[in-house]
Amino acid sequence: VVFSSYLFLFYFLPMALALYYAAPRRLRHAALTALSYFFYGWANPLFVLLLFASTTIDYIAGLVIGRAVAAEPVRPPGAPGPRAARIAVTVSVCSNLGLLGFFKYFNFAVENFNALAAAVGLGDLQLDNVIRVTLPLGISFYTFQSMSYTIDVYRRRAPAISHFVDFACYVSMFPQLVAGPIIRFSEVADQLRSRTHTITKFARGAAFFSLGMAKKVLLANPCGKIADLAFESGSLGMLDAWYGVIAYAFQIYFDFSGYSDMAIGLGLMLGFVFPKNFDSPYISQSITEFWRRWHISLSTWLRDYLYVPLGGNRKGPARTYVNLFIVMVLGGLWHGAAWNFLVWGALHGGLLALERLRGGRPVYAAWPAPLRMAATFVLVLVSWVFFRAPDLPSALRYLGDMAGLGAAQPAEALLGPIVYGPYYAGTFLVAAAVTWMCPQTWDWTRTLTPARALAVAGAFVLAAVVLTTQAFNPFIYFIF
Amino acid sequence: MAEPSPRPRVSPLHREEIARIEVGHTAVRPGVARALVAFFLLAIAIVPVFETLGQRWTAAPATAWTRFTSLPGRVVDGYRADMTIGTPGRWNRTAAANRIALADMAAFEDALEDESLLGRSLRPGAQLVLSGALRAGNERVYIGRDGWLFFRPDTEYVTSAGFLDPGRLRRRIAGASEWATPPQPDPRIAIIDFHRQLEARGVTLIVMPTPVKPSVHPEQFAAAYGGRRAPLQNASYAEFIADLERAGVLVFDPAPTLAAGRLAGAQYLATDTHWRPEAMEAVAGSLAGLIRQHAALPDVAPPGFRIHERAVTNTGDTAAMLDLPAGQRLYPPEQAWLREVREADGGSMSASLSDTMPCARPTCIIDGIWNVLPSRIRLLMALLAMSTSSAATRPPPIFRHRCLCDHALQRLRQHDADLRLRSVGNWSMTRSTVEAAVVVCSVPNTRWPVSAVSIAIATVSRSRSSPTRTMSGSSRSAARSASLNERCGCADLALVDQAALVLVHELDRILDRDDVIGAGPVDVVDHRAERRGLARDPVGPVTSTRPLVRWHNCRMCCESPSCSAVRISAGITRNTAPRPLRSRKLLARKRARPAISYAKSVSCRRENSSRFFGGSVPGGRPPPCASAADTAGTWGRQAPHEGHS
Repeated sequence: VVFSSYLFLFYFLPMALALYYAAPRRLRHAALTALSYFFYGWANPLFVLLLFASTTIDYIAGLVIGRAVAAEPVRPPGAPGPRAARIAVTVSVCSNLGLLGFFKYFNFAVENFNALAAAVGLGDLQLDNVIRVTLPLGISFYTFQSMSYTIDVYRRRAPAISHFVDFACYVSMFPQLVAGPIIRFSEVADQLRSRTHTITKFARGAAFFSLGMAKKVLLANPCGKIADLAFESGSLGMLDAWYGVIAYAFQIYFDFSGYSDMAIGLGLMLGFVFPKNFDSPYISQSITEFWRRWHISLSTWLRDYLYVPLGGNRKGPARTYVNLFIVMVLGGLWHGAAWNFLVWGALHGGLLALERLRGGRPVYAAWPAPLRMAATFVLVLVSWVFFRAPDLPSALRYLGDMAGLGAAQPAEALLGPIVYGPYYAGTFLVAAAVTWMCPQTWDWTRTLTPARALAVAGAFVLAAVVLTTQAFNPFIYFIF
Repeated sequence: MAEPSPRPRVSPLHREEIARIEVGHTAVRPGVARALVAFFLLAIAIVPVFETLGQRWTAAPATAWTRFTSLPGRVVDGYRADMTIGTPGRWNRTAAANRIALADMAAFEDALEDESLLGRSLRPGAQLVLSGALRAGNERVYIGRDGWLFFRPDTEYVTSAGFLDPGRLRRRIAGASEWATPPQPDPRIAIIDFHRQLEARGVTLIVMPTPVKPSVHPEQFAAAYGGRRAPLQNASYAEFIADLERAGVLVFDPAPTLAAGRLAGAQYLATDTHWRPEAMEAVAGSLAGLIRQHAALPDVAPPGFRIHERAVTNTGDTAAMLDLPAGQRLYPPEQAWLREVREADGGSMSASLSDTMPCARPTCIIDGIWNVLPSRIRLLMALLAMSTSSAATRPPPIFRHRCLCDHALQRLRQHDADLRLRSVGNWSMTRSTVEAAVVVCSVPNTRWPVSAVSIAIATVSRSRSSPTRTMSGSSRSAARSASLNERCGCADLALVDQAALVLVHELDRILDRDDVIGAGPVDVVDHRAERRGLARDPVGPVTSTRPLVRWHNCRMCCESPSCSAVRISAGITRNTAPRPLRSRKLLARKRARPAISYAKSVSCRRENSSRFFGGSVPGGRPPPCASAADTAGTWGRQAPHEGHS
């Protein structure tokens, strides 16, 4: 299931490419679907049933909606669709949100119920023996994708798919199944009908994949080690705390953008073009700009399917701020069922609302550009503390360490030789250089000169060699 | 793809257009594109070809693919087997089969990587660069100063937040398998509970948390600790010890002894996780003094131990974990002078149990213990117990685990007709367990996650000194045993003749070809059955110890040491042949499965690494009989018939 694993890289991927290209053109979707289900089943065979059930419900809902809207006369803007379509889209949205709610938030709800019961002195009401639910891999992503399909069909932005295999292929496509990017149906509807397979596309896909793997293996994992040690330690000095959170910022960026690059690369190898998911987010000069560059597929999904239906900016400034805040809080909860994710979302929502209040300009808008960039990065770092910390008290403690309020612990000096050693400190500096001084993968691979092709090959080989020394390292977004 | 008609309008999409335009316009010469594609395809396809051919050339058995091909059959078997606790139903069987599939798939993936010719050929060179020039070590080892190496979990135990931190305790619960009853996250509860159960039976529990290497030698990790004398401990350690002592648990902390000894010389081997022999002797002396204070032992004639000195040179276990190229000079073999304590003659073996110093197998109360190689624990126990006896001039300790099992096997052969056929077609042998385990304690299970238990049991199973291997070797049952044990939420500990402490489920595995869990009708006093409401009376105080002759018989059974046992013994004294890569890797790897909550970050995390040895001091209850020493002890096995000195 992990792209940067020995099994995927050297067994699954060659087999998948061989089967895909060996299959007759009309059977390629079937082959890709079968491969994707096998890929997904490797994480947990039982979850395949869930994926299949979700796909089936949305497929049928899509057909119903498609037939209803096809028979409908021209719909005025803002008018509701036919009744059958409304029922079908409601069923689809409710089933997807129901799945997501149950599998992602059930345990969270039980924990909080128990805590609340204990707090008000009703300990006997605690739910000790209820089931504990496992989060199926990628459920946050494929439910959003499925919902986008039925909603797009309902909004007449895309046609309904009549072939089940084609729809199953769209939902389960292994390059983006478990951690995105969230591919909206309208973005690939045409490609599902026809797409080209060219050597140029494949070459660029290979470049994307190689660079993504290098980001993950060579940069994200060592930075993650620094962050792990910092966030797991009892107490830190101010410098170590900042070093740890910056390392985490690099880790999550290179981990997720590396995964996105690999997904885009795999898509290109299979003839699909997926949109850009990251656009050098740490050069942003405001939080608003940051969200235009970070996890673009999620931010645009939330904008189009949540912010706009909530009213967007059409209902006055106050409602706009509230909508922004709600969307970001829900976006935070989408990442994980924990209070610290909620705080993370609320923090971003509050900052976005504040910038909107000031006409889209941050409070430090008058500063020089490098300082604006630094200030935005610091705000993002503070929010990352909530994202990375295992729980809210730990996050607050870590923020205290960053502010220099942490109590020194005797073992703290043991961390120095590790995190400031040549390998980790060197990787940290390289990651910083790549973040702020190098073009992003999308731009860099637009022109593939022989030298760049050689660099791509070198990155692949180096990453593969280092991969042999690393243990199982899933991508961060696999748990979301 | 067919489309409904009439076709709705497809609105243009900005992002899609951008994507198409940008990706559709790659500036690359056809030759470069072809070369890049050829390289990429060759790179990903050549490895499996190379692996297949390599295995044919070397005639190496491809166990990974054997696992893979047998996976469907095992899943079907798992579905058919009546192995679920509670009401067997279709869902339970499906879930059980799914767990088997998951375990087998993970094992296949591990085996594939371990057997990989590519990995084996590239890894040592890469590790040499990472460990030498870059001083990064690997995922199991940190590089210290002056040629010292440190086991990562040991170091991270010291640097991490307190293991009694409420947040960490909560996360331990949350990190357990969704199929299991959440474990008791607080180790104090289990230890104090165990202490009280033993106390009620007249047995005193001594808890000895052995310090990790960075606790005693932080100066070899960071120069900042050059002047420090006190051992470094986890932030929760002091609270942990204080709470145990407040509850009346006898705690022997060897860390101050070792830290004081540091001034005279290294207490740990530089490239190994073990104490140096002289450090162990110092601790044994202190422990002997403590036991003397708390145990009224009858006078006995001096046992006449012989001290046999010899030099041993070998590569340390942490150096081996680095997977450096053979013949590397970065971390050369170390030499240590061993002072083996050998029994004088067989006469000492007939000593009364109360005459001997206590010995025990390590008890897993805290999960961190399983982060350490089991053989290392065996080493400490074997050497330490014997040295403690020597220091106190008491008869040697009794190691009975293996004898116990051999005895149980004999009993089994005699009485197999009485035993009932259970579950997957295997004979249940639990009755022997009851005879062997005279005291069964049930304490809260504090381990997490399931994988840690599985790894631990599987590793014990792989350990060549464990009779499990000769009996069964079923890794599947190990995993199941682990997960089912977790489901019960308790760890059952059997105290045999007030001496040898073993985990009951381990006995089950030893005595059964498969698990006995769920074997309600079996005539067994089993606390798991008790918890399921199928229980009979719990095992009471010591009433049914075996006569001595049994032990003598057992000893005879064990007198012909197998090569494997010798190997383990040698490993204890650092003569160990290099451990197979796989077992080392399993202990260090934390293979997070997507279904299980794991760290947000990518690297493996460890909970505390405190290790506890449960030793029993025969207290007020007179011993029922004398016994012979088991040959599972290290030095006894090497030289079972040494004469008196």
